[in-house]
Amino acid sequence: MSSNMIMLKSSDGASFEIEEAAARKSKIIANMIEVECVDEDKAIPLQNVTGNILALVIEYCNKHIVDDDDDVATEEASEEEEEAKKKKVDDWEAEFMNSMSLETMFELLLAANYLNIKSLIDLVCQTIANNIKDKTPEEVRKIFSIENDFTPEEEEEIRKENAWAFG
Amino acid sequence: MNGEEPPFKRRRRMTILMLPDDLVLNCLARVSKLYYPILSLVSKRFRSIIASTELYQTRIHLGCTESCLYVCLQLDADPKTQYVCSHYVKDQLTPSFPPARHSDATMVGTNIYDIGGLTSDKDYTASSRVMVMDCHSHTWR
Repeated sequence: MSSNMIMLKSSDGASFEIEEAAARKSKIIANMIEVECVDEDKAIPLQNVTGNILALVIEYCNKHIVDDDDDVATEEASEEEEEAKKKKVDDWEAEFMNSMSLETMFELLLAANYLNIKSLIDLVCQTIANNIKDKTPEEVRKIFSIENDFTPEEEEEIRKENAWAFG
Repeated sequence: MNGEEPPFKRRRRMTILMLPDDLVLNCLARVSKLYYPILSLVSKRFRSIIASTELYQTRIHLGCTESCLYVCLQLDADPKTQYVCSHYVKDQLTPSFPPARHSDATMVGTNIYDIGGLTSDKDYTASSRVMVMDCHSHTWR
């Protein structure tokens, strides 16, 4: 039962095989499975996700389904073991996020949102938040390719309003 | 290879501003409030999201709320009431108009109310003024 395989098809036509248990990380796919609109011979078309992003989503789901299985198997695990396991997952996630560009991160976030994978949305949003903090407005604009759409007068006005924060 | 467009359409470069509001909110809610004044200078969309009540609802929803200690100072030598916030240690949240002396402060929800006091030390006239500090935006109104 747990080894049921499902086929997913990206918007650019790439097909991926994934364990049903891993695919269920996506609430959208889990719902499709519940209402039995998944045909075993047919791939589920994902219109909004390209192949390279879907590969990352599947990598994430596969990794986390293994971790969830581990949790069931070692119910009696000591606190230390739990801690070590959590650290392993954290390290993997940090490495996973480190391996991609910001642009890829945004696309991954859109895909996680579309597929409704809450833990992946949390992970990507937290990584983006970490990139935002402790930067000047100019640095944030540069990192995120944001155009400054304030006039110099408006900018001065906001600086005055928030004078207490700029010291 | 001959310089023609590739057969598939070239996609525009993805940026944070192409994300829907709820996802930008989700990212910004995880950043400490300390950085909000700086982030509101990034662009108009950032500014409107940071000023929105949705941002604070998202922070509560995600459990990203932060404790902030406000200290109300009333010194004998300088009867002007001053408020200092633990997040912005070097800054004083001085009211934009002369505050009443010996006023009382109370907190309701996320607002601090500075109520009454004396209009001046000389004539001991009671003031009926109420000032409200919005702790989301750190401004008096």
